[in-house]
Amino acid sequence: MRSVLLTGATGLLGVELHERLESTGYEVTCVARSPRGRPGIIPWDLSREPPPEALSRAWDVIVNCAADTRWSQTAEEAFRANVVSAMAVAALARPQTHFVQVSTAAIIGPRSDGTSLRQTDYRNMYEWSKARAESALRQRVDLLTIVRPPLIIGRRFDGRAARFTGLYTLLRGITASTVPAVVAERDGLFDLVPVDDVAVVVTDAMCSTPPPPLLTPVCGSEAPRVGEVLECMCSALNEWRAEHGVLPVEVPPIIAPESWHRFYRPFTDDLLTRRQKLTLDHLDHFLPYLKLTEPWIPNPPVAGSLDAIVPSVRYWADANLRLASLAPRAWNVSTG
Amino acid sequence: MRADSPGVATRVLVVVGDMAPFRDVEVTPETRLREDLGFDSLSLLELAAALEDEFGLPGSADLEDEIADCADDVIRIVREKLSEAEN
Repeated sequence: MRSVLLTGATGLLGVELHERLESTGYEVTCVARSPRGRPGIIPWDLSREPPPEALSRAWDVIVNCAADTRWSQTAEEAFRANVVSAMAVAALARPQTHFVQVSTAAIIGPRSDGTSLRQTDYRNMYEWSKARAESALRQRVDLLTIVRPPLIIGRRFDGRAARFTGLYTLLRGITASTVPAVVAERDGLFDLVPVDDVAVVVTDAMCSTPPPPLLTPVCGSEAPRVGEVLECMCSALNEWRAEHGVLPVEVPPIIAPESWHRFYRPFTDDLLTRRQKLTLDHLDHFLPYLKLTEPWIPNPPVAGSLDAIVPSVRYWADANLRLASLAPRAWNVSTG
Repeated sequence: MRADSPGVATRVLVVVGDMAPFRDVEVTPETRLREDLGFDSLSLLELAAALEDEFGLPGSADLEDEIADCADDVIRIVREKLSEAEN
């Protein structure tokens, strides 16, 4: 039985991978920064603590899913969370260990193919830190596979997700009536993949000889458009709300980034409440991902993800009954 | 519901528990919002919206401005907002 060390085991991809690896006969050891009472998961803050003694052994495979994916991090925070931690895990790898690093497709952008180490070549410090981690691991690890998924959503068949970030942030804001508009290019590419599709890519890579150096499981040019995703998400949410006797939410208007920054935001800033400002500031981090026009190159390609949004929304709503059922409020500068 | 009703605390704790990112924690007045329940700035906004919905508070209450450390703070703030509404 092959031994696997899985970090980030309580995260969105970690939970899915844990189940899949165990069901396919691997001997899996899980670590997480905060196991929160989950039995069998070893607590380890990778970026701040030495590894627990139990991890000092020969591993056949190490899968590093641990990451802080917040786009608002400073360079120092992101470096510690995503580079220092990756190197701490890499220190447990022996020459024969296959190391799988879960990175992000987002590091491929207009100014870099993901190999630049300059902060200014990335949209935020999260992306930069993931590129730095990739670079550091290439120098440290012999048998390395880097997996670069885009935004991950729930499982394709039932929508299950262990965490609700990324796309779910928009969904949460819409149901809480704190998203007045989505600043985006309507026809921008919104590349999303279901978490079970990513788990299959990772486990397939673990079985490959030699290990593939780089995998980018994205939809690419087949990715849904921002407008389609928003319509699909709100439609699924409103169908769920109708079944629960709750009034529908309105689909927020999509405002082009240039119009928003030139004509809307400057004239409303003095009138916004703190809640409105906080929400808009938070959504600002989304903007770079809502105006993508160049598709990422799939390797391997992932089937269209628009259909997977519906079960993801329904699963989220079932898991967040109170938030998903909130009565819609008019959003304007005089109300919170 | 009146601000001094004993039911306020119970209902606040239920709302806090329903909205908490971490669901495996029993919510008591001493439970810390960020450390124990995983709230961040965005989920605190959502909590404020849920409290306004639950207690019929006006949207301009801006509860999140005053939500501090623990669930007991939330109970106190909701009581204050209810009391303001009564007057």
